[in-house]
Formats: sequence, structure tokens, C-alpha cells
Amino acid sequence: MTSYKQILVEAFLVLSLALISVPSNASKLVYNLKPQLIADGVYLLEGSTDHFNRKNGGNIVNTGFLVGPDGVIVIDTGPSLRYGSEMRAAIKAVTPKPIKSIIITHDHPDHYLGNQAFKDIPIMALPETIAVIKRDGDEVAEGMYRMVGDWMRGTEVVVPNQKAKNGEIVIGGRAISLIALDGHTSGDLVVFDKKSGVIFAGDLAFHKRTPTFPSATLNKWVKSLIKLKNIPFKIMVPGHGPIVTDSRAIDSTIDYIKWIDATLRAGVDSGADMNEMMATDIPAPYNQWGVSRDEFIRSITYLFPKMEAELLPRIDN
Amino acid sequence: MTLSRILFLAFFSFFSTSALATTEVKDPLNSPMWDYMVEQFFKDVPWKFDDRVKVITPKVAEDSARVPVSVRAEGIGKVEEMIVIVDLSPFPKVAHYYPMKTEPYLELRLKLNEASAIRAAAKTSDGVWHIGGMYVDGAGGGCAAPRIKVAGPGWADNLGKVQGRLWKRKNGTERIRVRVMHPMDTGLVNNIPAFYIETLSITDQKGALLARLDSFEPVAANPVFSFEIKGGHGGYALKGRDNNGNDFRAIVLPKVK
Repeated sequence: MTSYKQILVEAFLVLSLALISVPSNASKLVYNLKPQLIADGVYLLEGSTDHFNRKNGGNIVNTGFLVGPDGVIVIDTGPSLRYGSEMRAAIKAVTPKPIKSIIITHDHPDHYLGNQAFKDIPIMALPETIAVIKRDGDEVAEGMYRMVGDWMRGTEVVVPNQKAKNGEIVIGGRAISLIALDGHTSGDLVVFDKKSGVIFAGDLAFHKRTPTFPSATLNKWVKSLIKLKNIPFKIMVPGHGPIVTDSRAIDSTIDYIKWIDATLRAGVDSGADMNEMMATDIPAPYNQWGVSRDEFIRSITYLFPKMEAELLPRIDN
Repeated sequence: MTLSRILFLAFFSFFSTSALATTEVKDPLNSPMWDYMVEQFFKDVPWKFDDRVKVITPKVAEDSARVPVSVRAEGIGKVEEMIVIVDLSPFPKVAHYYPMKTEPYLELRLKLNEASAIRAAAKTSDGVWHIGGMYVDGAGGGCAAPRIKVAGPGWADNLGKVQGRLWKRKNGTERIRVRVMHPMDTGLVNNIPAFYIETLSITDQKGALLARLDSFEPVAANPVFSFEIKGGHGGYALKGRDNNGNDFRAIVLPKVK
């Protein structure tokens, strides 16, 4: 005869075993980063065009590295300590040369939360970027933990410790141009590798992926993109989405920014409320890009109140 | 006790509890705080869940300091009062609207302190509260976040400035939107005392009261409110006051083309 107590004890044991087995699943989280050679000594780690989620672990971003005669330059470090560590291992598998410098393109979390894995190396960013990471980094990292979960384990904000300046610089024997722009955020750093003609545009350029606006200034962003168009690059690595060999990523990002601007102005002018605005039809080709509706809603969240502040007339005396 | 008897009892008790549960009204949003909301706002008054009271807001609050919420309570008869409440919040009550001669519609933006049910309740002339709502996910922190992000550091220079506009809509109603520069401090941050707009009234140009809105701590900084009014009154006067006694006045007229 089986006692009630015995059943409880057995049930307890089964449940405890189930709980113990959870961490072994968690340890399977791997980004599986595979550097692609896109030009002589230039490697790309391409992310998905999705939103942050628990499947992709925040790997929605393009990062890369340049191998010079004496060392390696890393461009952006990804969304987490885990990503940074895997990226570092992937670089080591490609070249035995030492990593000389890390360049952070801007202050969004998917681009710099891997810094921790490169703590022993100088990390540079524009002064505006450094200030925002200092101010908002912890809060932004917390948001990432909430969105992608265990992938973030152990991740802490490491603020870049070197101020980047506009102009030419030689790192690891490789001459690159740093181009200081803004518009997507308060500081957007573009890296142009003259030798190969590869340009890392950061999030100034998106390709087949909806641009994001939480820190954007629309007119500045368009101006920066027009400047990028005048640079004689052969391959452009956008911040998100596949690489391009022409100005398509620039043009489509400009078109989208202009469409968003016109849509918001018309929306405020028509008296639409924010939720009506968020339900607006998204025309082709934008509705075919990654996460078009979600990103459109995010854009309205940040830009519509600013547009109201700008466009609604004063009605107190 | 045999195993089969235990299984039978377990089976039986499962069905008897679920039978009991159906006799109560289940919260469609399954919020842990619903009983407490009833206790606070609907104790000893008739209420029911009603899909015709629409709460529209994004499923995920991207910016917890400013979550846009539109409320509409049509097809339930004359609405005398509307309240907007957030179940999981240090200040569940966001706004209390008396539509009087206006439409049962209100748009505002609120601070969300954590993922929660956001509800609207509309009281009809028979005294029944009709309740609709939506669950919103989000990082939260809205009520406990510094105002500097939204109201800006120079808020004092702009206090009481009012922007707004009036639109004639295709269905014959007019929509008013008003934006008041105000920090809307909750009192939860950095020892800054609660400082928020308490009330706003809409009158016609002759001074007849058309509607009144009472607003509370969770309304977002530099609040924006939208209202709808049937028929043309040719313009409206708006009058507001915060909890420190500051008055705001504005006049909104149809746009001259």
C-alpha cells in the first residue's frame, strides 16, 4: 500500500530534479558567431534583423573587425558579455595578432554591452556617446536583461575610456578614417577603411530593417547620411541588415526618415491621437522590412510628442 | 488509502473547485490586484466587465514615462463619469472624467510603474460602472523615474504654457487637444514633493461648463489630453489648476484657413 506521504515525497523528488536540470539548458546559450571575410582583412559578424528576444539573445546587430599588419581593430562589441567573449574567441580563431583597440559607434546597448570582454584593451567612442553610456548605461542594460534574459548573465556596463576624434588614425598598422556624425544618436561614429573601401556606418544606415528613433534627431540624421553618400566606399556595413555595395542602405534610410517625418507632421496636423497614429498603414517597401510595425510604434512613442510640442500653437494668452 | 482513491479525490476536487470559480466574475485580464481595485473603487456599487468600454494602448510600453492611452465608451448609454485606473501602481487612479456635454472619449499619457492591467470604467445614468481594459507589458519605473527625462530641466520657465488645437471631424464632432507644460511630480522621486495638475474644465465661450477632468500623479509630465465634443460651439475656454494653486487658462478656436 502506498502512503499519501510517500507520494508527496516522490513528487517532491521529481520536481527537484526538474528544477536542477534547468541550468544545464541555460548553459546551451551560444551565439555561434561566424566572422565572414568581406574584404582583405575585414571581417563581419552579421546579426538578425529581428527585435531583441530570448531566441536571438540580442544578436540583432552587425559588428566587425579589421586585421592590420600589427594588430586588430574591433568595431562594436555586441549586446552582452557572452557576445563579447564569443567575439573575442572568434577573432582569436582568425588571427593570432593582438587586439589593439575597440571602437564603439554609438550609445545603443546592442553595440557596446560586450565591452566587458575587452576591458584590458583601450575602448574608444565619441565624447557624446561616452556621456550617454555613463548616464543611461545601467538602466539600458537592465532593459536588456528583461528582454533577452539569461543571455545577459554577468553583463555589466563598461564605459569607453578613450575619446574618439574625427580624422585619420593608424591602429595596428592599419590606417582608418573616423568620421564623427550624429542624428541617429547624439554621437554616431563611422569607420572607413580606405585600403579595402569598407565603411562601417553604425546605425546611421539600416538595410532591409526598420530604423529606430529613440535618440534620433531627424534633420541631423538626414544630413549625416548625405555626407556618407560622398564617401567613396566600395562596401557598406549597415548597423543592421545585410551589407551593400552601393548607396541603397543610405537612400532607403533617408526615404524612411523623410516618410516618418511627413507622416508624423500630417498626423499631428490631422488631430490623430497617438494610438490612432500607431495604427497608420505602413506602405511598401517599409512594411516588408524586419519588425516594421513594432519599430513604427516605437518611433511614434518617441517622435509624436516632440512633434506635438513643435507644431501645436500656443493658446494661453 | 489506495492510489486510485487519491487520484479519484484529486480528480473530484479539481472539478468541484473549477465549478465554484465559475460562479464568480472572473477578471478577463487576470490581474492579481483586481479584488483590491474593486474594494477601492467599486465597493457597494454595481459594476460589470463590458467590452464596449475600449482602452487602446500599445501592448508593450516602450517609454514607461509616457504611455498613450485612449478610452472610448460608446453604445452603453449616457456616460456620466469615466475613470482610468492602473492596477499595479502606487497611484492606481490616473484620471476621473465627467464628460457632461462632451463625448465619452479621453486620450492621455500616463507613467507606468510596472507591467499592469490598464482599465477604464464608465458610469452610466443607471449607476452601473462598465469596465474595460487592456494588459500592458513594460519595463516600468515610470512613477519613480526622474522628471528630467520628460519635463526637461528648464520646466520652471515654461510652467503653465498651454498649446492646443481644435479639429472638426468627419462625424460632426470636434476634437480638442491640449498640452500643458507641467512637471507632474509624483512625490516619489528625489524628495521632490507631489506637484501635479489636479483639474481642468472645458466651457463654451459663454462660460457654460461642458466637461471636467480631475487628473492625478500618474499622468505624464507636460500632459496632453484629447477630448471630443458633439456639434460646433465655435471655440472653447480651458481652465486648469495644479495642487499648488497655480492656474492655467487658454482659449482654443477653430483654425482659420
